[in-house]
Amino acid sequence: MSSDRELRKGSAETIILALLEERDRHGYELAKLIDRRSDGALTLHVASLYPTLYRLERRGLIHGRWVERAGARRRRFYRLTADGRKTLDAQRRSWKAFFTALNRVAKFRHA
Amino acid sequence: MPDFHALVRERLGPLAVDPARAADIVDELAQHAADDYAERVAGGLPEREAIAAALAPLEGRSRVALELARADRPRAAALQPADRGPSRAATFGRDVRYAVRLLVRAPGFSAVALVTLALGIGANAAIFSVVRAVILRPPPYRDPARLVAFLNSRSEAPGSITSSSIPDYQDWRNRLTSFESLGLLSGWTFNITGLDLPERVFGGRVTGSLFQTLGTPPLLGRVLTPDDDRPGDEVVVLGYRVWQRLFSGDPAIVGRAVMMEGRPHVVVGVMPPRFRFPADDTELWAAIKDNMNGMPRESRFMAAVGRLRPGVALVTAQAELDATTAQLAAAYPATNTGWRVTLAGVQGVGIAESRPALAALSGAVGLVLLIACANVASMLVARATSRRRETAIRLALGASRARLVSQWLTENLLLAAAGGALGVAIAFAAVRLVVAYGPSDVPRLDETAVDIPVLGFTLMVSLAAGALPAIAPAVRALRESSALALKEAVGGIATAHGRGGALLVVVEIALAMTLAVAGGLLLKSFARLSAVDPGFDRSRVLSLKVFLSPPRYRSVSEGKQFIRAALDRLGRVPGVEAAAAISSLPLGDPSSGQAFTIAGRPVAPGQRRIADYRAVSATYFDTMRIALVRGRTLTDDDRETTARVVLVNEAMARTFWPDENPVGQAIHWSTGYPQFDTAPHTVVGVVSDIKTLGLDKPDRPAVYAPFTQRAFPWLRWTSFVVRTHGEPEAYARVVRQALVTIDPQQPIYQVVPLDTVVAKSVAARRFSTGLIDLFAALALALCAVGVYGTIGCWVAERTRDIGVRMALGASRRRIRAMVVGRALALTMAGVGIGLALSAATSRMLVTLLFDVKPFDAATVSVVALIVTATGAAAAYVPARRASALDPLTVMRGE
Repeated sequence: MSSDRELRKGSAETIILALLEERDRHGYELAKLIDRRSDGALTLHVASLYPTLYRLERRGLIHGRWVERAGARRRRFYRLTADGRKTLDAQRRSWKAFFTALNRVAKFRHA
Repeated sequence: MPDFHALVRERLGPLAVDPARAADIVDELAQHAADDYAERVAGGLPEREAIAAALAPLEGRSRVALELARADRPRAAALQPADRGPSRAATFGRDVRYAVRLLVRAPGFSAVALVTLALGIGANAAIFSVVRAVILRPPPYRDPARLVAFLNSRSEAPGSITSSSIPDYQDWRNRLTSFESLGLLSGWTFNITGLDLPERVFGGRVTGSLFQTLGTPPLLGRVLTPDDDRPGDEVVVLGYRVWQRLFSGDPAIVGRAVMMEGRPHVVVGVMPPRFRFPADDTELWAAIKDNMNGMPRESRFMAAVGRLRPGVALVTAQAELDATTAQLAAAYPATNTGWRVTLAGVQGVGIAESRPALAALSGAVGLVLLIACANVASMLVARATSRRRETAIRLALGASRARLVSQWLTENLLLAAAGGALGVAIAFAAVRLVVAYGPSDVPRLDETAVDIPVLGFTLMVSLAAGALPAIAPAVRALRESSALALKEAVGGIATAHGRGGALLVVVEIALAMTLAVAGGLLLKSFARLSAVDPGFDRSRVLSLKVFLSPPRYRSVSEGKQFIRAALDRLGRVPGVEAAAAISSLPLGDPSSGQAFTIAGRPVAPGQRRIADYRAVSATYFDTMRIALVRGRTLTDDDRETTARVVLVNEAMARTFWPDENPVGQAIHWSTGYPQFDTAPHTVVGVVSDIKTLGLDKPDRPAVYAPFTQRAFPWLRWTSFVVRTHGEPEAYARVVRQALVTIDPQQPIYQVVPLDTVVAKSVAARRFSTGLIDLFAALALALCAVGVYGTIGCWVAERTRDIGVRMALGASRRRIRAMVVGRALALTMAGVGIGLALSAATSRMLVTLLFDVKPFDAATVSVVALIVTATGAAAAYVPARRASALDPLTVMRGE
């Protein structure tokens, strides 16, 4: 049970880090991107998105700052830190290994 | 546009973070909701539905608020550095819950680890309580570091320490300036009458200054003071035990008179339970008054104790005492030449004998604990291996290594805490057994208890035992690349779990081997010692004691009369083959040395000849079946009025007449009683040596004299030995009755078979040997568990390998041989290291061994065989399991 939750939490973190690798984004944008790029298969709404962001920020993997634009409300933009980049690389490798293994065992792809 | 700020705030409720930060969070979420709303409205959704949709994710408001706050909390903490506690406590709480869940889920692992730790910790707690009671716990005296005992010894025989004489004590008291006060005690056996039965109680006649010197406050009433030395009513202070035993702990006893020695003694106080000066068996203290007047300077049997003045060092006091000793030797050359007096801390006196055994026991339990830890560590390594997948996934998902380690540590500490709790229960039970069955001659052993310091010690040991085994697996697991671990875990590829676990097992076996060698050597020593012929026939002999004291037996002849009458009565009890009397029962009583001279053979000034004086009845040698080597034995015709005759033992003959026949030689005693000392005592025979001080100690030069010819008044203790036709215990009652008819007021005590007396003389050794062997067995059992676990793991990892081998034609027997071979390899490596360890440490055992070399080849080989066989046997079950594998299933399962 706990590892299932951890798995979901972990994948959310990896996804956010990956999206922030492209450029700085704010929370709403992240939510929309995840929804759109996964064709609605993955959804991160407010209740889980922001805790994840705060957790990542706490661990120094991302950094948030308020940006004010003329005529609009201020928004909080998140940027990937150097540590975040390293973690993302490591997680990508792990997942890749995991998928390769999973595929070898469970034969997802046709031969 | 609606005020999302307010709507969000309302839905979240209070946030458990810094208020400024809370505002930020609300701001951010409100912006999100506003964006969502705007998009939905643009998509054509009615305004009201768009608001509801945008806010829907926030509806489980308390949960969301909690999630947010939890995710954010450390940031809040960073703003308020003083408030780090809750998060750590929360983490710890979570870890504990998680650990409990895991342990419950693996009941087999948890149970074995728990029992292993409990045994290791429990054994340590028990032995520590003994060490604490016997050695570490300060005696109940005021400022005990300043209390010293006076130990007298002849300079030519440094080992023979004895007590002090009254005249010497008086001179010390008058001359020494290093001491605040001095006290003196003379051991005394009190016959208490006026109770249901006459009772014999061992106590002391003490100077009033003794209590002042020791400084222990009484439990009830008062202690003795120097005023009590003056003539007047006899007064006595009771020890706690005798107060409970004879007077049922009645507080009204204070002020009442008790008949002791035929005179009323007024009880003035009761001492607390732990007050036992000078030894455990002392139960009451009567004022010395004039009871000891006229004791000669060479009667050195009083315990003297002094309290150093504040700031005076022991060496300073010793130097002053040395000068005084020299002055006394010059003034009294006949009695004081050659004597040295040494000061020793009161705390160390009496435990010198127990120290090596306790040290060995502490070492042994320490080893048991180490083995237990190694065992748990190797189980954890195995578990960490099977938990690699979990570890790898958690690492991949971003769990920090510190978190993982702290969680493992929590798991182990929890295990150790449970083990420690169980261990305390074991210690409680063990201490009970120790107090009930431990040897009576280890001082303060009966005070052994599991108390606060013992619990503190146990807590520390438990923490160490919890943390130690976790280190190896944690380091191992964390060093591995998580990607590799994941791959392996998922791919199910066999890996060498082996090295860490194997190493631990080898260490375990080496430690157990060391312990087993020590246990084997001690066991062999004990067997050798038990097989020692004491020189007398101890079977079917009942022994009993009397203390013939004033007023009933004031003169020497009154005492002799009792002995004569007793022998007569005892000899006529049906079923009694023979009865005899002796002043000091072999292996049961201390013997007393007496100075003598040999006619025509003067010694250099300052030199003295000393031999044990044993007053016996003529029947003694026949009753005890002690062999006559030369000359004649004593007969009933050797009476008070006939010529003085004695027998000597072989040790005496060897020492003083190495090249001559002692028979016909004459000796003169120096007792200070002229009518006794002037008469020549002619040696008429030589008897063989017997064991008197201990089965492991040679007999001292000794003289056996007819009790009828004794003329000095001391030696009031007399033992009777009665050879019976059947079980000696069955005669206890009739023998007692026979003596009661002579004097109903005379207490008779220690009515026990001689066999028991002999067994008691080796009780301490039996006890420590038994314990060390118990620990060795425990160590071996733990090792077996360790080997079983490690080999089981090894087999599990090699399942596929074994399947392949079998598919390729390996026979089941070969597979079994392979597995057992692996276990043997580990075991033998451990045995080899253990041998080296034993060789290096066995010298520490020397003082405990008897007639066995510290590295006795036969013992060591047998132990090595046992340990190796244990290792092989422990591997047998996994080996069978391996050989029972079906190769097809194994390969398919892959």
